[in-house]
Amino acid sequence: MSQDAILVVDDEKNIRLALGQALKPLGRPVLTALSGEEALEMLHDPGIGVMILDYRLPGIDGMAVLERASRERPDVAVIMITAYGSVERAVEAMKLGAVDFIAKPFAPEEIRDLVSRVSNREALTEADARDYRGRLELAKQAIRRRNFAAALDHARKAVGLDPYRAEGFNLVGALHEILHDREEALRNYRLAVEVDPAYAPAQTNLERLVSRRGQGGIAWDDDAGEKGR
Amino acid sequence: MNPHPKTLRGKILAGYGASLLLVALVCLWAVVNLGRLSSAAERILKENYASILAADNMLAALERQDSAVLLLALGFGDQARRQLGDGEAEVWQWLGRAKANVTVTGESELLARLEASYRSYLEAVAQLEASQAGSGADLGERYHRDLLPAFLTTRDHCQALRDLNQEAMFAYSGQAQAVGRRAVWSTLAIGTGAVALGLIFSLLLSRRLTRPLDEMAAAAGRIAAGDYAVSLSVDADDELGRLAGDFVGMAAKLRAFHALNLERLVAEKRRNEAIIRSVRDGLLVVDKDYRVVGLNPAGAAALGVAGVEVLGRHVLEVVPDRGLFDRLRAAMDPAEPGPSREGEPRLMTVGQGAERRHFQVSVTAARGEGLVGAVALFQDVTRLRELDRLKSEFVLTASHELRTPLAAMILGLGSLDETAAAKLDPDQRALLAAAREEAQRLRALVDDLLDLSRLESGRLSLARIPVSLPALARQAVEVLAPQARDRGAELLLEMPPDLPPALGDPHKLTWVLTNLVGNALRYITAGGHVRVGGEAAGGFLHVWVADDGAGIAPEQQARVFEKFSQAGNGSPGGAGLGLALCRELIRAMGGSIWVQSSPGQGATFTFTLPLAAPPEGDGEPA
Repeated sequence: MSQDAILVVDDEKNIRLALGQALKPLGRPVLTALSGEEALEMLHDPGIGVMILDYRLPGIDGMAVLERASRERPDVAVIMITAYGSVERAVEAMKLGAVDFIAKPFAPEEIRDLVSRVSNREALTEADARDYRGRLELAKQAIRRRNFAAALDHARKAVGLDPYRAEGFNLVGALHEILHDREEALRNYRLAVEVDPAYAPAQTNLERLVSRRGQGGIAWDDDAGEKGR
Repeated sequence: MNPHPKTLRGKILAGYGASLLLVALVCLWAVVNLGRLSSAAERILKENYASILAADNMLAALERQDSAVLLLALGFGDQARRQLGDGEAEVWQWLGRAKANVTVTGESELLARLEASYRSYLEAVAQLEASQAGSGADLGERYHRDLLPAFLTTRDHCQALRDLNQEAMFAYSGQAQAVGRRAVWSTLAIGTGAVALGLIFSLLLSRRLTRPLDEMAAAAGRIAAGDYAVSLSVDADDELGRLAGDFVGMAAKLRAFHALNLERLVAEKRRNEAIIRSVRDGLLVVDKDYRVVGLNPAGAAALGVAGVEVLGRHVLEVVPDRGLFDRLRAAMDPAEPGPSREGEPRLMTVGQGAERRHFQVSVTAARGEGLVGAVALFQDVTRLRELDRLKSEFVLTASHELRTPLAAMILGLGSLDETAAAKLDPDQRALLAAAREEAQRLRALVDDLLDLSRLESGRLSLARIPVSLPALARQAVEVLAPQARDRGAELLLEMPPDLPPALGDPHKLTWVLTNLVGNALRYITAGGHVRVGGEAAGGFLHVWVADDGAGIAPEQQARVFEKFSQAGNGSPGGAGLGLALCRELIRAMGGSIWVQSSPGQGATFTFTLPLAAPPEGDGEPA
């Protein structure tokens, strides 16, 4: 039995409806759940291969659903929907095998592309993924399989292929963070920000890791920004 | 008489006069003594010497009469008689003189006895003369018998007279000597006394003269030292007394004046202190050496120090924070490149957690005759900041919440466009396209709103790396060139390509440039121009976007950077957030942004960015 069903978990009726419509062109069955509990129930269906999960849910929230899903159905690829421009808890989700995030609002083709990429990634082999993007996909595949060491290896290779893109550094940083190497994580986040200051995920990660300000004493408004880096 | 007996001149004259009087007395005394001495000498001469002379002469005459008696005996009768007559006449003459000059007691009796004995001697001589015819032996016998005793008696009397007067003379001489000695001693004593008295007078006088002067000099010294409570014992009513009186009066007036001034100063100080204490904002006053001279309770609370203990201490001792010190220094020394200029308020944050407080700090230099010090005003804006934070939080949540319906709309409209567009007529397709476009604008708006609120709440951090503005400007111009063409406007990049790099966030700067250019394009008419230019000046890179559109009215210019404001000339779209976000972004990058415009003359938006430090290639190792 193929795992081509897509489970959409969102408490918003219209989102479920619109997502369902947007995914239709993929020609894959789309199931919907309006709560975490219902989603976990439905995950018993072995036909589900991809879950599109909103972080914010009534009852048990997206992270809790992810946590249980990663135990019960580690084979299901999870795409997290966020409302922020960046993912504050991305690394936490990554530890649970979720590497794909999409921020609201998004266009139909964006989510379709992402679903396709996630599905294609599962079958990806090292032989046919030798470029930057391919290496990153391999790294994400390894993360999906909780093989973080392999993921780090792939991510580093990706960075080696193109050291001018932030995404690779950010992923290396996140993997270091998962592997409890804070210094290396910081260094790579910084490099990511250096390479592309506008790359929001790296900045978010950096800010999260470096506790900004708040050491007491006196702070002046004009020495912000300096410390941000 | 002297009309002013108690004048200083009078005193001086009296003092010297007394001395002169004493000298005169001494002289007088000496003259009197001299007179007494001379009269004593004269008396000796007059009274005794004459008697002694008479006695001597009488003795000589007696001797000659005696020898005449011998001549008579020898037969020289005539010669003897003549000699006797002469002798007698002389004796009577001197006796007469002696009698006229009786001065010593017993002298007249002696003279009487002398006269009697002389008379008997003369009788004896006469008897002898009468019996001249007798023999020589007889004569000799008679001489011895009659004449000689009378002669001897008379002679003895004469000698007694002489002796008497001689003794008297010696006595007088001794007397005169005693008088002379007395005169010497008494003159010496009186002279010494006079000298001593004169000395005492002089001392008293000089004391009297100098004492008030000394007192006044001391008093003047005390006044000069600031002690106005002087009193002089004014016990004289001469010129010095009047001077002392006037001096005391002057001191009293000075004291009153000083007290008045002091009172005024104290009142002024109290008033100032009251004002400072009553001000609810914190106030820190430092002198020009950065020593704390004033700190009100609110200021002490703001800085977390005890108000009284800090007075007189250096501001860095009190607040070990360079920030405040640098601001004070910047305010006091205009040449000093400080983080803020005078009067430009800065935000200061103290403490952490629930105790965290925010203060807006304004520093003003106090200048009198030169620099006096500086005053720092701490306005507690914690509540305002809290409100601001709540507002940002609200906007954040709102924009967050807006995303879900927006997501459903965009997804739905997108799907509709993909699946149903073919079935629609052109009008319906246009409607659908409009709906999709507006949904995208809404999305951009929500993104801006989110960015703005995150920027305001300090959550959005910006990169500050060297950026080449000409490259970014070219990018923005290329992106917006089609839009300019559509409007029939000309978009010109006039920025020198060799501008030095500035510090900033390239992504956000692209956004700012795009926003400013897009904004300019919205406000110009066909045939208009938008120019993008820049130059480096004074450590900052100036970048401007100028249009020749309708311009902005002066009253609008101040508000264009506020949220949801737009030039009120019926703007074609535009959310009114773009410029607000531009300002926040530029400020966060350490620059500033402003607009110059006049209606009909177009508008020029200029922003500045700090120039990157001299390129030293200090990028982090890869």
